[in-house]
Amino acid sequence: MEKKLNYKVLLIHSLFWAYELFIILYYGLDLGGLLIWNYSLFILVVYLHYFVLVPRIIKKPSLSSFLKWYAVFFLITFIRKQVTHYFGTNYFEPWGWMKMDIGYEFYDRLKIAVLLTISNSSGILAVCLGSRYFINKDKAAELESQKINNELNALKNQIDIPETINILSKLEQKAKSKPESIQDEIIELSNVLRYHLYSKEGEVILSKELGIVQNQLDLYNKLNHSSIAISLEIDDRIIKTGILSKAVGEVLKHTQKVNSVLEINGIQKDTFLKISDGDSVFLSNLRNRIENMFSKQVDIQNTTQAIIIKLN
Amino acid sequence: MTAADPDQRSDIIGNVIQITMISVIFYSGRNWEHSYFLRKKLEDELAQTELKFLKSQMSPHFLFNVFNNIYSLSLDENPKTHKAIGQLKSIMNYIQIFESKEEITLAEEKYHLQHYIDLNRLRHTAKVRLKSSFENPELKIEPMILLPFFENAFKHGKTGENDDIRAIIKERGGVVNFEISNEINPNKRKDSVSGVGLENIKKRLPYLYSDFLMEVIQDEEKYKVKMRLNLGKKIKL
Repeated sequence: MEKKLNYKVLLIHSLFWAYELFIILYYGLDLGGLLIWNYSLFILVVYLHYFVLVPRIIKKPSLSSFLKWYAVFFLITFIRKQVTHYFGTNYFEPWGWMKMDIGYEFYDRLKIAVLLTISNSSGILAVCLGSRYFINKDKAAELESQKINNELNALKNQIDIPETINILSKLEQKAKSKPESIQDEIIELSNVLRYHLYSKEGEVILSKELGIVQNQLDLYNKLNHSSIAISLEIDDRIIKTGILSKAVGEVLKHTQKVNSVLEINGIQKDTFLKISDGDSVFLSNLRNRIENMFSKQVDIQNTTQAIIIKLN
Repeated sequence: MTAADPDQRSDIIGNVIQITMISVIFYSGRNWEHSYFLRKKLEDELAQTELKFLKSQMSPHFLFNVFNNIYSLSLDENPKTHKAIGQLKSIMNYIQIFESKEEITLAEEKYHLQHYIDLNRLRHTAKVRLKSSFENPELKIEPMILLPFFENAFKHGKTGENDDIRAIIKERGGVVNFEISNEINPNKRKDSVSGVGLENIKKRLPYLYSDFLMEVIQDEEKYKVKMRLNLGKKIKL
């Protein structure tokens, strides 16, 4: 168990202690003596259980660990009873410090230890397990968010191997006759890789990602003798990293002859990439691929002639 | 209805307390059990995604460095440029294996390492002495664990005609001992991606093998890496 206390854990402890206090007051015990001698000790004991005993004995939910816990608690309670009895009858009572209410016999002390084990240990256990529940719940939310972040980052870095081989084949042909003619393409490829690999932030300025998209388009146009472009109709703003470049990459990869029109526009604070194409099957497939790529975490709208992807 | 005497009332209250306590512990226990297994599941999934992320860094990083080499060749108008691209295409097969979750045999790993060395030798003239001996060459190893050390040696080491890169890979009883050494070239500048590959291996290894050792020995002139991998202690995520 983690050595961590949050407000929920403290609340559970307080409620438990308030409950105990209520029971003690109800039975009319001496409140002053109780608070000074018993209750202060009780807090330490609860923390000893909370931080030391329970975490060491009950590491995971299993019957054996619970039985082991009860056995240990019984031993502690019984030894405590024995020690109290010894010091109480031999020293504290003769000195007038305390009055031993009942002259417990050994068998009675054993019986009381069993009863206390069931009631007190259950209380402490309820506090510990309840606290662990809240700690686990918080941790689970944190883990879930880290998991999604890792998934998205891994996706961002993913290389399309067949597409890279395709580009390399074209470069290989070019380099055969003129090795120096592929310099720009290599730089463009490197820039795209570097951008995806080292852009760690979840958000980026539109112009920065657009620079990378321009690299992708230049590379595509040079290798395929085409002139596909992207138009921008808004000022610079913040967008999520990777959606724009991956979506453009998908358009370039899957279209035989690029007829698609790529536009970036905005409505108020929202930024969109609009991909228009006369081929509705192509658009539908493109939408599916982008949705799968981003595990449906990207907002895509359809019209008959276009798909519109939200970039922020 | 008659009023209960104090003893009877205490007994009733005592029983109610016991029942309440037992109910509370059952409730807390059940919630904890559920949250415990959920957390365990998420921790396992997180480890998987961490590894996936680390793996995803390797291929672009590796390609980025190879592109730099090809760029240098093309700058020199070197006729070997197209050959380098052709060899890179073959290495893409290795990257494909790496990107999928497959492992690779030691013999295959050596084959791909040799391929990578050949690719680099188009630009660098250093002698690469790679010795290997495998008791069982069919044993599987995680790809992209050994290769980045060669990448590092070519990138940061002296790679002239009179220079050496020495590497030994031995496997005995499922334990791989790997060693690579090269002389450091102080004139080679570090770029924005320097150190990423080694850092990545350091982070990936604990997710992959429960028994491993990696030691980097570096002084002003020499760079040496020693690694011990127990292939039998592969972690299944």
